[in-house]
Amino acid sequence: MSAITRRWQSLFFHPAVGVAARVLLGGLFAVTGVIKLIEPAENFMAAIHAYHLVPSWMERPMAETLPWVEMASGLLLLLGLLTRVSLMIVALQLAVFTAALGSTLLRGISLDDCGCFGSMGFKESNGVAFVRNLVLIGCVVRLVLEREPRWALDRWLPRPPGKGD
Amino acid sequence: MGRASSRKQPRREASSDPAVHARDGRSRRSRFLRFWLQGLAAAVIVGTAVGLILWLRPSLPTVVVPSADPFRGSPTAPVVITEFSDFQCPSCRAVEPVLKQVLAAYPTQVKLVYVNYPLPMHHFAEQAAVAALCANEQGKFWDYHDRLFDRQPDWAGSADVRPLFHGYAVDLGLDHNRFDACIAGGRLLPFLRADIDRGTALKIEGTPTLFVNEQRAATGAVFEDLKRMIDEALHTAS
Repeated sequence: MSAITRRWQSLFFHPAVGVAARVLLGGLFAVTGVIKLIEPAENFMAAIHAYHLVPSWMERPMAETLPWVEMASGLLLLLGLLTRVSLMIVALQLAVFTAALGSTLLRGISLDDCGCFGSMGFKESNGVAFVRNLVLIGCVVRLVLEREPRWALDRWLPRPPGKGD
Repeated sequence: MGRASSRKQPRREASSDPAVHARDGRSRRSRFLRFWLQGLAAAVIVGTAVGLILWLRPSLPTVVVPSADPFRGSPTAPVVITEFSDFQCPSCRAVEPVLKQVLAAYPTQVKLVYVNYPLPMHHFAEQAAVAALCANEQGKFWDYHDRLFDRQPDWAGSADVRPLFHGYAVDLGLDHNRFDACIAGGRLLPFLRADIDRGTALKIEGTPTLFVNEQRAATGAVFEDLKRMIDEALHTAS
């Protein structure tokens, strides 16, 4: 392994990078979830509809429930509580969102606003959101490879005897 | 993998070594306790967040459609679109062709109700709303409504809207003396206040806000969005 690769590897696995990835990923999901929750669900319904992926009868249940999952999983990941479980749920949502964005790009649907941040002024096109999601998937990979998250509430809880840090 | 194999190893030894058995039991209890503590902490944190959001979230009551409001379309239509609108708002002007398209597409199935909701940031919106209500008294609400939106850039940028509003009344064949007296007397202001109160009760923050029966349409809804909501409402009604 070359020195440069080792250097990049040590940087990638630096604890601060892990904390930053968790804060970015968890914070983003928590904030976008809250934004969608304090708006009328119809706004998110319209965003879901623009993707033309789910039948119309599913749009309302999705718009009513998905932001709660987004907020709760993001918040837990941000705080580092039930980190593995919350990371899994966030990763699953991210995979679905990225696939949905990718499908709009493949079908040639141009969205001025991906609906990711509700309708509170910050608009992101589907192309930009897709690239942003790839960066977030990089954060997921970094967190999956992390043995023990730093600055996490999970670390404050009592551990089974014989388990080291 | 490493964690799993290290867990299995003491279990195999437990049958022969009581000390390992006891340690394994303590470890299991500790894991169980940790699991419950994690769950409890997560429930407290998520529960607090949910409570805060529900507290902050504007409750969105369903719209009550009053029968006295000016309307377009069939009076007995099964679907009622209620439009909370502001004559000085550019987005409200922009939605007008969409609503006309809806009425053309559903001539017998949709009734469009207009409710005034002048926003405080629009200096002349309230005067325009009163003028439209005064035109309504003479059965010319929609003519006046269309004129106000058509000429919005003219009057919204003027220093004094009164001569312009008077001119529109004259153009549309209204009794201008009665119209002027209506505006000057402020007799219809309580009706305007009632409209605004209804909008405020519905937590309306921007205009136009549209309701298709009880369903609130998304901000920036286009014809396809409204069509989908109307079709759903018709499907429910049938």
